Amino acid sequence: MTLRFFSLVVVLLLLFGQAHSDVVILAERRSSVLDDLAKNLAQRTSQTVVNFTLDHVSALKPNDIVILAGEEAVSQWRGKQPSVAIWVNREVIEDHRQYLTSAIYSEPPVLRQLALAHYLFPEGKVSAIYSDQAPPWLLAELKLGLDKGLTLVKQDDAQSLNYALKTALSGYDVLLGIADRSIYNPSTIKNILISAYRQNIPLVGPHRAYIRAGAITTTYSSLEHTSERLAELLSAGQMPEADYNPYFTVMFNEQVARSLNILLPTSADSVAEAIR
Amino acid sequence: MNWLTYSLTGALLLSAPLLASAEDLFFPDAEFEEMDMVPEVLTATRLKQPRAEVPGSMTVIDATQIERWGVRTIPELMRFVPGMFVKHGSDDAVAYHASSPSLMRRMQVLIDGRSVYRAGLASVEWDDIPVALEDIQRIEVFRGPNAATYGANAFMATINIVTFHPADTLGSRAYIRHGRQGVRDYVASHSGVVGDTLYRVTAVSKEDEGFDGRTENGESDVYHDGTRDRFVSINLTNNLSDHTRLLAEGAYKSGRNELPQASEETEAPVENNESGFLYSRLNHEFSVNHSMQLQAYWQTEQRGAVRKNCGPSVTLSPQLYALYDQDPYWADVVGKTLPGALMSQASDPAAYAQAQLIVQGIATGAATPGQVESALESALDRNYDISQDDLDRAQEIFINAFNGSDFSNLAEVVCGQYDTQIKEERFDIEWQDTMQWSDSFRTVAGLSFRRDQVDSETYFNGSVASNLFRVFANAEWHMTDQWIANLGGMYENEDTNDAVFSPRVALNYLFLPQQSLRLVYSTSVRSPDLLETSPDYTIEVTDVSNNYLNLTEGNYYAHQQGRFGKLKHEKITSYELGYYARIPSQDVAFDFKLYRDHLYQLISNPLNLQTPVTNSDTKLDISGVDWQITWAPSRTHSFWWSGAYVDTDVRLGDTSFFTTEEISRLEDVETRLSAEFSNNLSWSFDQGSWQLTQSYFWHNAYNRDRDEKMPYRRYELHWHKAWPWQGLSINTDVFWHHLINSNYLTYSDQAYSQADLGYVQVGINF
Repeated sequence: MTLRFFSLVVVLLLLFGQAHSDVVILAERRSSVLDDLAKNLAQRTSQTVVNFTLDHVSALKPNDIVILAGEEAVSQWRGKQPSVAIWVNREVIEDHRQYLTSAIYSEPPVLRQLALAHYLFPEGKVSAIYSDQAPPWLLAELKLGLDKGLTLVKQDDAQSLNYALKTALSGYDVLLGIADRSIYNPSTIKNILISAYRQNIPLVGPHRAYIRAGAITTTYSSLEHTSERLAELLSAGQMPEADYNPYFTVMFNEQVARSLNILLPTSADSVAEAIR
Repeated sequence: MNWLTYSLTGALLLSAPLLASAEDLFFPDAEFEEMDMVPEVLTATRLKQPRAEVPGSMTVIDATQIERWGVRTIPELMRFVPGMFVKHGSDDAVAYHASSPSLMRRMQVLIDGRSVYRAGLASVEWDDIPVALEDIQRIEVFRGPNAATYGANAFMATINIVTFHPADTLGSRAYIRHGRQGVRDYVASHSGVVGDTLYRVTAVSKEDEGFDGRTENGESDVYHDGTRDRFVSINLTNNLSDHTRLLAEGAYKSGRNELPQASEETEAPVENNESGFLYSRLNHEFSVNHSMQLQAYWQTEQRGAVRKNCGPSVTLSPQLYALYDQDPYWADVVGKTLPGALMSQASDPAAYAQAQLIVQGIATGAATPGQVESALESALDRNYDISQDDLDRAQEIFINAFNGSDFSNLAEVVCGQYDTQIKEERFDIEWQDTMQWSDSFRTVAGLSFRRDQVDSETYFNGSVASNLFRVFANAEWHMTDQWIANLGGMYENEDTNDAVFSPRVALNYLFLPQQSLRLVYSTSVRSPDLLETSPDYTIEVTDVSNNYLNLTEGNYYAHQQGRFGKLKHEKITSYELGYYARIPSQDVAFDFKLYRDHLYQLISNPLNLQTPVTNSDTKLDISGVDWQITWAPSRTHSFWWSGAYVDTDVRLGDTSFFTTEEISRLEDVETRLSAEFSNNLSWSFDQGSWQLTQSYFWHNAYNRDRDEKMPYRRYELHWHKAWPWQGLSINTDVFWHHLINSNYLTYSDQAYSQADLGYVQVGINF
């Protein structure tokens, strides 16, 4: 009897152990940021959230839900478990779509950035530069922007960025940065920002990384926002398709604004609220 | 040191610590993305100073405004600056509040950091600045003394012209402009990219016939003041590395100015000029908080005219030349007044008879110094101090002219010619270091060396040079969120002048980020130029016609060797209370300036041969208000209103040897360009496909202290339309200037025979 009972307990434990699925954040390396995310997510979902590094992929249980944090994790991921990619730009996600169940794109969507530009500069004429390297989904978003007063300037292959900048800056009041990596990258941003600044034209976006460089504003999702969205995805019966994070706030570069004689709203959250 | 005030000394970064911590807080994923690879571009040392934090009064005219107003010259643009007055014409002068119109020497003018203030003769020749108005990105006019930043000669104001980066003008454009008063302008420009280098080449040819002169009515142009200026300029920029960039500029210009013909001249003179410069600037960023700039330039200009004159032969007498050294006023009587009277037997017999008497009395030795002195003083309204030696020397001259029966040789007229060729050169090198020490403290400091050199037989009897060393430092300190202090000074040591130190202290209080009150104390000096410090000004007349002195060439008796001693620096001390506010929702900005300036040791008389004595002893107090209001309620409309109230008080120094007329002229000279009240209004209407700008100027009168008031009232219109055609843009423009008052401007020859001026322009951009 005792033995039977004991055996049952073991079987049940085994069964539950098998059935019990953990949320695993998989990243290239350990980081306190990952611990924070795990803690935050655990609180929201009341699930066990653990951190794994890539070299422990083999320890994943078949029914774990995997959060792939960062580009390295996404590129190496070939697992069968349900997976959500975070902190990765859409271009990388599109490349690995077949291995992913869902994803939160790290960059803000074009229309939201455009809404931000219009909110801050109601009279302003907004232009954006793109190249023929721009991915199709970005082109589709830009096309939607056309109806909302956005002017698109294409950088001609044969000509340098300077020509596109000349067209995009003359007669316009705001330059909208977009996720076209052949236009916006660490080696081109200097030319773009200095050219725009010379003509007192602020750059919106393309990404929070460019705020420190000198872009005046962007929308972005914080760790809290990421966690909030993840909780939503995990609780859904069927995980939704990869998409932008609907939770965001706004960030400014105040010193650039001052220097351009631009008066910013005092509350970034109310701006985010207004353009949501 | 260019752009220091506005563009470089700048910005406070109150939010910087917030931003730094924000990074860790908000960028959790930074380490998983490319975040830290994006460089900080708009660094503290690169950001422009917010307008409300500028330690002084500043008017900025940008390319859009320049395009709207559509004027042909930089001085015409300056009319829109509060308190600025412009003398139109071939030697345009611009004055802020008050100054002599004859030479533009109390203002510093810089183009991309290069001073176009002349090396030898303190002045700015606007026509000779090789910059096309279309190439100007903005003009920052710093209203008030600013030697702490720009050094000597940034006296009453500083005009800082910044041209477009070639990247901002990529493509080509050309236009032709024709109109009344012989306006014929041709401009072509191309900007492009070769490898890592961006360049712009601009070629300009401009000409006009100037004023018509004292025309009662009719169409004739009787005033010889036309100009033609042609130049080619080049701008090259290159980013040598991520942290280093190089700018090189150069230009060659040649011009031709018609000069008004003086009554004694047999031919209307024409001045030819040629100038050029080479400029380079290297900017390097050591870190986001530390950058430096090294600039060097060389510029040269050469101008001259052959002048053909006739006058009494005696003016070439070597004895009279020597007498001038001893007593210039007495020499004027002997060489000019008496011979002039002797020539006027028919027109003024009384003067002729009196002159005969004096000449005979002196020649025979019968006249006493007292007799001559009282005769002169009663006839000429000047105090003379005649000695027996003066009479003996005159006697010698008169006896030389005696032909055996009379002194008619003194009335003999001789003709000849002389050349006013002058070559000026400047070499300047400057190093400047900008450092952001903390979020609230930043400095700009540097050193410079300048060498000015002039070469002229007429003015300097050879060549003269002067070396100038400078050390400067400016600090900006954000004491609190509201209070900003600016402290600065420049020490200058020049071979030919005393060393000077010019400080400036300014305090800005920010009510709001875009609303501030400022309190400024500043000083400046104008250095006496090389002609004022080391003149050797002699007119050498050649090809002399037959004369009783049997000369084939000779020196005109009047000359300048600085016998009056050393001239001191002109000085200014200025107190200013200013208020700036901008209301972003309406895009309306106000700026008011209340000021009190004390100017002393002014050299009111220009150094020339008509005024033997020049002193640095005029005092001038100026006080008043400047205002400037700009408003752009929508994209379609924009307004500009600027104006000033100027109250002046001139006190002359030693006038003991001046005639009443000379004294009154001297009293006027400092305020001849000023109006007590001035208003400048402009309204631009932008319909999208076409633009219309209308401006109205109302200055109650030039010559504010004169009885004869000459109001300056003008209405100006500019209509512009662009026609897209096969990927090009064809531009058409019409300009119409209506002179509401037909009076002359500053000088009586500055008049037009018609009240409506205008031109049309056709251009192409691609």
